[in-house]
Amino acid sequence: MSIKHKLLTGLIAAVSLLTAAAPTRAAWIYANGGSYYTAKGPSQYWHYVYNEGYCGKYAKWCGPNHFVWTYNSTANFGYTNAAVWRIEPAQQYFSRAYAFIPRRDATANPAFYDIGYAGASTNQSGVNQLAYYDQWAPLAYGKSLYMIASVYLDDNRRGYGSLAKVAFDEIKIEN
Amino acid sequence: MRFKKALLLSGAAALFVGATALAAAQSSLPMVPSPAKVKQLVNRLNAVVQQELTGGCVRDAGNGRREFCSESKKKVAEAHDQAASASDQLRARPSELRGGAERNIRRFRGHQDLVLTYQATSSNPYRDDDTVIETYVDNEANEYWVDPATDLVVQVGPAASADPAPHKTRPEDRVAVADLRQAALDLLEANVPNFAGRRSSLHPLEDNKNREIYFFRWDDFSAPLKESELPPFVQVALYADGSLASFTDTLNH
Repeated sequence: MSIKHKLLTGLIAAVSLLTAAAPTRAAWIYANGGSYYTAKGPSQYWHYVYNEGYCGKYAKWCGPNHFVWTYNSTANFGYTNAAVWRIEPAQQYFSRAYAFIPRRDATANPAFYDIGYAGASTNQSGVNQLAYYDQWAPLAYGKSLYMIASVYLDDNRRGYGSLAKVAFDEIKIEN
Repeated sequence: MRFKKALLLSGAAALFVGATALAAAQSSLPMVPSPAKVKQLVNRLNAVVQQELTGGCVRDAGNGRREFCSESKKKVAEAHDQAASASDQLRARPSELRGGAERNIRRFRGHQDLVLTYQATSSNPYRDDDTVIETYVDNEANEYWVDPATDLVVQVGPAASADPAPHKTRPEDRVAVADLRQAALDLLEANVPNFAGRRSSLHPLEDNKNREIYFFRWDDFSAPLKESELPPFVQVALYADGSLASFTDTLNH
């Protein structure tokens, strides 16, 4: 039986649309807010854009209704602001991870997303946020990863690119 | 009578040749692992992960995260890749049926020698149903999503890679926006079924980011949506020099 269920996390409670036994298709959306999301760094560097991004503009069933952005670090190495989406509980599936890239204030090329999976395995990939516009962008070079447990993003440009805006919006984990 | 005998002989010969060909074809097909075999590989992956977490090389990756290192990293990666490949084969169509997808990608890019690598089959992130996409990457750091039901391209864009390539348009290479718009339309008409016929019912949108990438998008707001889905759309994103940055078609997939 092919089942897709969705678990909404963020500022509102988890909702399971279909929770029959052993789902073979599932998607979870992790918002940039709520108990599964932690942001750190000076608050004055976080910029809030309301009614934009996945939950802000398209999916009114989830929240918060904004995304945030910060300029990438002016130092080539090191970060100032960062966030982690905790994928809990880590699903015992091979899944793909996607980041929603808003149409505005997402210009970093690259923005480095670091996925934690399979215990303490990590996959770091640079996403060209400039090239995407209100859509899902793939992480992890097209790979399916087992038991994704976290997605981390910071403003460290790691020697690449120039001054730009890194957008932090929803993360989708789907198998 | 001779005719009948000849017919009989030729029929028997054809059967023999057919059976031989079938056997040869079957022997050349990659074996799809059984669900039990996949489960075995996943169990092995779990065991290797636990073993390396408790007795292997694990270091602090900052921000409360840990990462495998040294031999532990290699062991887990090997077990992961084996299990991932086997798991994918349960869901993916046979590799010999992916030729149409690869031909369409090469035709889309106008690059017959483009080197493509199949990555995985997974759910279509734009759909809240059971439709799937196949993911391919090329040797120019692009990622492609293909609808295996039609072999048509769903999305193209820069792959998320460890070593992303920059793209900077020189002032002398900039193309007029009108020409970019026409290039986007040409691309859509060549690659999106019946785009010309549907265009008038779609909502157009043009925008740019930093005048480096120009977006030409048409949304379909005509039908009610499932709550998690975006309105279907087609979009072409072109660098200011006219080269392709990304492409998406969820109208048809």
